[in-house]
Amino acid sequence: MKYAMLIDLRRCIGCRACMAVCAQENSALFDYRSEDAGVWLTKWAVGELDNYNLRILEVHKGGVVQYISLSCMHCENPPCVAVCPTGASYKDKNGIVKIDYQKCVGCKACMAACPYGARYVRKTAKSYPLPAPVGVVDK
Amino acid sequence: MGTTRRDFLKAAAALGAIGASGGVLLAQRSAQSVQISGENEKWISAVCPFCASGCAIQYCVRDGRIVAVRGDPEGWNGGRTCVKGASTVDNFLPHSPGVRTRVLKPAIRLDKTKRGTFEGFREVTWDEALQFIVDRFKEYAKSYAGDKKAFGMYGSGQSSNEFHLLQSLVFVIGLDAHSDSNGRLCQATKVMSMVVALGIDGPPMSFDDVYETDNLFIIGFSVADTLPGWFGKIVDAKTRRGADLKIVVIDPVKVSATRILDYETGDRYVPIMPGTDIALLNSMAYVIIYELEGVKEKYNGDVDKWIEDIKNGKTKPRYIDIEFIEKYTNFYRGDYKVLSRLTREGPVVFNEIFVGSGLDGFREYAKFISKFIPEEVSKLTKVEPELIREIARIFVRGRNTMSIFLQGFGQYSNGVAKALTLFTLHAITGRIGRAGAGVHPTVGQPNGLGQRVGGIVVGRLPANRNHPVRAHRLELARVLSRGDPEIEKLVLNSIEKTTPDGKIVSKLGYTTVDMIKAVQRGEMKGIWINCTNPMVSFPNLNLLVDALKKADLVVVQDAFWSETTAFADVVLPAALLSGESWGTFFNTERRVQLHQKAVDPPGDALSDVVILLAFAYKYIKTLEREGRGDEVKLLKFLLEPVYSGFEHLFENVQQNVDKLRGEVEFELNKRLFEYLARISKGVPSNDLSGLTYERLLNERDHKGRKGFQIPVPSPESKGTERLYDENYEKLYGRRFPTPDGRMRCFLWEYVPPAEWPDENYPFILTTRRLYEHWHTRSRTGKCALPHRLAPEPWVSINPEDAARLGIKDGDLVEIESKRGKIVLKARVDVKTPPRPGVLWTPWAFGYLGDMFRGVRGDPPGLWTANVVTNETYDPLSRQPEFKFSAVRIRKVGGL
Repeated sequence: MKYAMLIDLRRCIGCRACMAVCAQENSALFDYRSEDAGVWLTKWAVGELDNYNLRILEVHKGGVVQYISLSCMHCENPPCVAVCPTGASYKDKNGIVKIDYQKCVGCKACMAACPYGARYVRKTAKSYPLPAPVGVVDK
Repeated sequence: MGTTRRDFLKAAAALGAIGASGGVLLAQRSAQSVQISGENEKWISAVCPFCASGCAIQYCVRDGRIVAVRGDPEGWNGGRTCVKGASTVDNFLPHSPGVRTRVLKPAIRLDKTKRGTFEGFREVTWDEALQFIVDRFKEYAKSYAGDKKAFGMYGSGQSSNEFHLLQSLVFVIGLDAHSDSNGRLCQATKVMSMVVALGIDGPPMSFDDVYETDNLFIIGFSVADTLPGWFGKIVDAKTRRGADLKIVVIDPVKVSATRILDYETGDRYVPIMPGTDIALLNSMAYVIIYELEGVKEKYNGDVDKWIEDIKNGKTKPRYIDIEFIEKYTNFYRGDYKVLSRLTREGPVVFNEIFVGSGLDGFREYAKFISKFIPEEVSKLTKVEPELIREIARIFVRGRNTMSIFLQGFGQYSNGVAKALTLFTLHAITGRIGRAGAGVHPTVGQPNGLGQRVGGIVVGRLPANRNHPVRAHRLELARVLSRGDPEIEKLVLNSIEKTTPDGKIVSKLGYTTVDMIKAVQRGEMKGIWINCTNPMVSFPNLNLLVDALKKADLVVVQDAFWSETTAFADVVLPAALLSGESWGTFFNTERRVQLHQKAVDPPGDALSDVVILLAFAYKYIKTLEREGRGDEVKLLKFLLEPVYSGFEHLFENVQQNVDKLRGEVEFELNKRLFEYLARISKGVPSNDLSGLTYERLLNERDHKGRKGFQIPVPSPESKGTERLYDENYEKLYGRRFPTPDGRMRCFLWEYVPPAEWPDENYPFILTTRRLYEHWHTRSRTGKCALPHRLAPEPWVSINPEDAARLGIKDGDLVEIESKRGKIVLKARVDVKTPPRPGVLWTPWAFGYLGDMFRGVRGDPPGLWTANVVTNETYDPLSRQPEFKFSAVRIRKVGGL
């Protein structure tokens, strides 16, 4: 079995609800369940943190606005996997691009390589039992 | 195939856990992900607290705290939410601004000079705070403001139906005092247009009608921003149906909904001059009658001859629905002077403006419309004559046309006239009263309909009865008095009176603007503001500042330290409805849904229902003690069935805070809902007598969705999808709930807005809701994503105007009307530009400003839009003209 992510952009109105629910589901911006969640929320709200789990690209063309959601596309040939020096970024047999957090050394090469800006540095390491202080480049 | 996103993620996580080399960590991560539905987290169903779409949502509760929110797959919204709903969780996160700004304990401030600041409050017990209010209100009760006692409640369309019924029982009926709500600023015009045109207040259509209609007219309604839940359906319908669904957007601002228009296949955006819709709609009728039906060419404009030929069967109109007109319509002359007396004097005023029934009335209408020639109308509306003709042709294309409107009609001094003109256009073309055909007056507020069903707005009585109709008043008195003739008399005494010349008329409280002016004059002594933030949302804010500073007593009941709480003498800590209380909401397709309580509120906060019941109990006790028992006899009779058995808890509220939050709160709400259901029996379009909390919890409607669309007249009924169609006629024996079952159509001359631009104030400023923020931002201003998307206010300028004035993006500009001035950043808007000559600004931003950084101004605020807006209102609906202010614009700084 091979998975793929499909988004019907004709229906996308740029509402960004996907950003909000995905952030909670995956504790992507920060850990929503932690005791200091509100502190991280504030840091993110004022721009001290700038990580996004997925972003919406707004394109203006001939007076028409189009939205393109930029999450991990689980590419056929993922550039993030190609550049990863430790093999932390890998593609599994079902076609899903994943991260082995133990192998990640936080070098950010994947961030530079990803054409969709889907990778980001996670600063709120509290969410995961991670080998601090290396940090992790999540998506 | 058929795999949901959640399945996908779960599968991905599970596979990862087994197969990957980093097994342990991934297993931990996947465990965290799965825990969302796991043992120590549970999902509680509620309704989104924001717009009138009323999306069903679920709160994820862990260790007594809300940690996530998602759309409820069983709701009408099918699990979808918008960014506001999805971000509400931010208000519950520990140490977040949403938690830090909660009102935790009742507070009193005796120093009136401190009003307008957050200083000088002293925390007190619930009992001290409530007794403080009782002791003052009982003195105010000795004098009158207008027809009602000199105090009252200014309520909200964000409260529950249970609370609304209670507010009406306490203030309107029990204490014979004032009661109105922020619905006056939001939906009064829609209500009055439905009451006048259709006979009662009941939005006739359903969200799903957008799948059935051939043509959708979106008029003065930024539906994508205001009701994103419903807009999701419109997008879905448009994507599926393409050119089969034509969409026309009529708006001075090229609102976000225009994004889905396909101009090549005939969708149209009409950049109308603000306030001129009556002329445009009448001109569309002109095109249909005189041009498309050929009255101009074939009959040389002779309407009499045309109608005669129709009657003789010599001609059969293609677009005008003769059968519907003959059977179901009456025609009246539009006259604000006469109609403004409707609420007090009742439907008898219609006799003064009656034109004719059926085809006879239509003949006069057709003659009247002859002057609305597109070339003439174009001079006023600034809409090209060809475009008027084009949209008229779209209007009669196919069989079904649906129109939806919101504040572009509502917040105008000529709003009711606009709406009635639109209803008339649908009636004469027979595009009303079946799936996909009709007018759906929408509301913005989450429980907008609920405040009318509860009966807290002037003109509506409990179960949404028509206050001006004597039969409705008598019926209400009968059901409330449960066979006690003395009580029946007392109820009537609160809702009607006899004039010196012997006429029996409605006894009415002041509507919002008049209420605030009465406070300013000192005529009304005490005002209790509940669950609303007028210091941001009221028109002409300088007027409100002055009024609240002069008031004898200002009580503010709110969950947050809002802009308005700074003007309070008493602040009462309320629980949020969504997440922290029990209660029901109506959305704008008449769907009643249940909020289940997920967590307890912080501090000593109590739910609205408990607070008001505790007040009423103490009021009754105090007056009985003082030998004034007669004054509270009615109140006691009305409320005893609600609080009986719990009196001891209200004796000492502070000691019983915990008890008043548990089972007791559920039971009180359940009793109030049963009360409302009972007294709604038989009321056309508003009957929920077949509903109970058990049904709302356990049953689904005929489409398998949560909640039921009223009327639900029996325990077997699964709700009513549509009003005023053939089914409705079978159910009630009449097509429309007017005395003769006919819809009221109108001949309206163009009525101009209260102001018009001149050389001193050459621009028109209109205000708008934003997608990212809900109303006055008391919650969304503290949600991270909405805040980042829209952190500060601005004013949008058409690029042509900006170039002419030399204003660039980001320049600071001053906007000044006759009432005040504000300073904002300019946005040369290419995305949602206003038409030339028009500016628009969001009205969501009050003086509390940036609530994450704590950047605030002084009241009413340098950037607060409503400083400049106009409180002049529609003579019939009394809804103020937020959407049209003559202003000047001046660059005061910038790049």
